[in-house]
Amino acid sequence: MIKHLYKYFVIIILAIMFAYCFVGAHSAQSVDDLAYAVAIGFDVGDTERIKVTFQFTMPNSSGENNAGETAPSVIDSVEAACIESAVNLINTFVSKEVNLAHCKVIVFSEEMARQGISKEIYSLMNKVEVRPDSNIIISTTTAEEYIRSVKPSLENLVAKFYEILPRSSEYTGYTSNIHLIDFFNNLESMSQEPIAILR
Amino acid sequence: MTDKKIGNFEAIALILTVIVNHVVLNLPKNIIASTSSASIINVLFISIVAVLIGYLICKLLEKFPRLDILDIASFLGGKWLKIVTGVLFLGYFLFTVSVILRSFSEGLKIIFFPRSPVAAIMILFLLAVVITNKIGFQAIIRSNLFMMPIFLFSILFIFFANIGNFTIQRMLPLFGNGTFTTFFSGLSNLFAFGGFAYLYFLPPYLKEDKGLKKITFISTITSGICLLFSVATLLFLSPNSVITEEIFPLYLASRNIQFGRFFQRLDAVFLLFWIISLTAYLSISFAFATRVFQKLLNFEYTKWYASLFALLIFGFAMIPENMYQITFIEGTIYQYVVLILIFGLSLALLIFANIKYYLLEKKKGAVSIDKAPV
Repeated sequence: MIKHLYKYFVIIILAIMFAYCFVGAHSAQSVDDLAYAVAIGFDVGDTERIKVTFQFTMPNSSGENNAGETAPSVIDSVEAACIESAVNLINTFVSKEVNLAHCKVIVFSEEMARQGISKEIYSLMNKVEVRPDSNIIISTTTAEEYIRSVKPSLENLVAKFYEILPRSSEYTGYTSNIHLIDFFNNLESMSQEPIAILR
Repeated sequence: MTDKKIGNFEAIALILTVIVNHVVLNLPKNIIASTSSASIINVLFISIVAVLIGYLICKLLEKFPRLDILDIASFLGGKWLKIVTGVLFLGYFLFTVSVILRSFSEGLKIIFFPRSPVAAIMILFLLAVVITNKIGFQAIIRSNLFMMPIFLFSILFIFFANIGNFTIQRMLPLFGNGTFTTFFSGLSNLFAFGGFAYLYFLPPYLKEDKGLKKITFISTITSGICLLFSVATLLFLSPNSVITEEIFPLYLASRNIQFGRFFQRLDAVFLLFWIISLTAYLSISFAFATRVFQKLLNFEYTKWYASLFALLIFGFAMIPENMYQITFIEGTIYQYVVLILIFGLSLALLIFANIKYYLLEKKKGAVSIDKAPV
């Protein structure tokens, strides 16, 4: 009898312990509680070193009610010293937690690219959320302008547009499908120079 | 445990589980950090040396059939040498389990559970380990055998799926930092074959007494191939500076895999395989640790103190304060522990035991191992 009680006691303690440990993680990281950025833009800042622009997709924007219309997206910019500070800063005034796991493109303005973007590339590579297959784009205008001007007419979802766009290199010779990992590897290489998609 | 013997394939899978788990964690990273672009040649070299050492171990164990290293230590130096050897191996098993557990849990925390305490992740693993040990050694060994092809396949798959991203020129210059670093100081990378620790304990559990040689060769060659593919994947895929700074370098490689727009983000599947693989590895090391303890103190059962061992491992695993300390322990201290204990002291013990055996044989005629003070 005491042996059975002991077992039940251990099971209950373990259940409470894991509920306590993991319930916080689940509530904080539920999909509904996250704001997924599909594009990040980097410009030279006016008051800080960089100006980072985030493009978020609206929740439920792929619903059937919006058929035929381009799904809305939210674009916000912050100025900060680095990407980490920018994410922290935007987290303070966006109601949801910013997540970069679905970021498809990383846009740099030409001015920023000329100044050097290795710090940003290193930071992005070190972030577990950012996928190595995100595309690197250099914009001839500012990155913010580029992101704001993206209004795909043949696509409803901006995320899908970002995903399909670089793949045009498979049937045209005017562009190249450059991923963050390729760019970074070439940046680190002693024999190759990094290249990016020019828009 | 000896009443239920294990087959050759089960024993091979048991030894392979060590290399698979270390490959997933930081083993290729450490090899690349020390030998740079010569990593592939270094792996080939240490694999050949490991095969030779494996052959030597088999030869040395030949005179002591069905005896493990504790019995041989007892034969060589009596009770005290048995206790010293047992304590060293017990420490080794507890140390490796603690370090690997903490390292993998930290990695999981960074990737999937940034808000969860690392202790909670570790307790989940330890819970699985205690339960599997209560179920029995056979269950662990058979589950490991069942899953091993998948673990090996995951490593090969990462290599072949990444071929398109490879820059083969990264293996140049062929001898990396020089022939001295590749072949002499690079010899320290033999610690990759830390699975040899289990070879010393396998003989009493084998169905076939003569199977040890086959087990050693197949497991060493397969470990070498597994190591070669993982090192090649990382070397060809990313610059050395990136690999040496990553937490799970092979995970980084798996993140690059995608087949068109539909099969993307396969890394989560690999991580699932590796979690199962780690549980198998921890369970095996844990089982050996409890068996060594049992043999040292002549206990009849191991099940009752398995939970206490789990608490001990949990305590050890919590000692490192940060990721830097964990990486240092895993990369440097583990390396020396394996080299000194597995390839140094244990081999020396076997050599001296063989010398004693031959001297006794010469003195008294044929020596019966059964009469040895075990």
